[in-house]
Amino acid sequence: MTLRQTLEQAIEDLKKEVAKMADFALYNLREGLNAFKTTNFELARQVMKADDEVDRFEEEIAKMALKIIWKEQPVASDLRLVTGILKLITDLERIGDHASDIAEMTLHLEDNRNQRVLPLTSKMAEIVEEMVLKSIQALVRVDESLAETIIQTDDSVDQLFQDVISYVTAELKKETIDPNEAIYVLMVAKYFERVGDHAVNIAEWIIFIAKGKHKNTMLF
Amino acid sequence: MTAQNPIVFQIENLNLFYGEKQALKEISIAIYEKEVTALIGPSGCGKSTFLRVLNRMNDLIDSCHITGNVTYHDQDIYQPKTDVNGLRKSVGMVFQKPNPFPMSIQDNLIYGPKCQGIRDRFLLKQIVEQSLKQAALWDEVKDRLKESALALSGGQQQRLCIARTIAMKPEVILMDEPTSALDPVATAKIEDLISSLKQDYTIIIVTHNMQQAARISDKTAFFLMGELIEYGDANQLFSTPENKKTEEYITGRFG
Repeated sequence: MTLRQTLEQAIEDLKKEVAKMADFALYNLREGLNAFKTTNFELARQVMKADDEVDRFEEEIAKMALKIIWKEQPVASDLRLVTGILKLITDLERIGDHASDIAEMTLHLEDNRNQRVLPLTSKMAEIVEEMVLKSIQALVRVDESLAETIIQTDDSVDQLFQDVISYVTAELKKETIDPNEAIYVLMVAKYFERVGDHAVNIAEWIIFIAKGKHKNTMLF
Repeated sequence: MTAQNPIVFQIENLNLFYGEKQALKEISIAIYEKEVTALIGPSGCGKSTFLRVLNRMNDLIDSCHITGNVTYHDQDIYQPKTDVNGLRKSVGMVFQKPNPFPMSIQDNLIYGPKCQGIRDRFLLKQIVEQSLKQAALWDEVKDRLKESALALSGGQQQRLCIARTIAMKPEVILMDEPTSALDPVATAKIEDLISSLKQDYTIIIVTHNMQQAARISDKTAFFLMGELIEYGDANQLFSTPENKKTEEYITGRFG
């Protein structure tokens, strides 16, 4: 018989809630981009409203983690997991915010025409979504080598963002893009770039959970 | 990296047997000066046996014999010529159940020094006051030093026993589960006391209370079935233990 089944169950439940929170945030991110692509004001407002749900997850998970701390007084791997989750949900919450930000960009667009989303930005969206998904897998399995790969992937996201800037700058020079449109295209790309950074932060907390080390500093 | 305190006890390849039964297996460990070292592990793991090796309390058990080296300041304490009484004066001990002598508070404290030949009343009075102050008991008992020690509460009795140990001016204090018979308030007082005594004494404590070991110890040693599984800074042992068995024990997955 395994001892401390209550603690084990509480930790499983905690991980499940984090995975659900990530699903919500990623769903909003996809729908935010869809709203922007199709200039769908209604969908944009829905996505912005749905961010409340992501925030509620953050509070619930924080409550669950604090309860484990005061009731179970975890040490070693349990302590690292619970405190690591307390830290990384802040990044998940910020990812949710960026989904809402992207949706909000839609509201600044003119009605009745579809917004251009650069293939480069779509590529960024694809990569950062994969990064967040992998970070949750890495958390569930406490897989530090998977977490490392997420950190490495971020360079390609940063490069794509630079490519978007170069592309838009060139278009502006040629006057083949509306300046107003250029601003929002850039901002959306920037938000995806930030989501990549938050995925990196999550990955760094997973390495802390695995080894007690955060960005090469032992926190104990 | 902080500089390491000097070594007080150096134990190498210690094996201890009760008759045929081996209670400690190949223990090698260094105990450092003016630190609190906690010994943890499930019942029967050998931690109390190990504690009693350090002032030769196991000598009182006929069938007990040891192999290996136990040095105290580079002196092998298991050599035949060892002055065991002198050793026990330098390496005092506090037990699980408070065991004051059935005499007055002050007589408890001067009993040891008197046996050592101290007769000067002024000096004895000084010993009483100093050891009670160091044991954080002076304010509570200063007006009733002649009353029976048995009238004190459990927590006060235990602090008196610590004061009685201090009165002998030891260098090391061994504590065998000193708070397991006490309530949380008395326990907290003893824990605070241990932290302040660390300035002057080397303390080695056996405890079943993992949180207590985490709270008060600088170094923690985890024993299991007579073996020393892991030994290191408490900070490291309770956050990122190296050994899977340590991890499982301190997180409560077995024990």
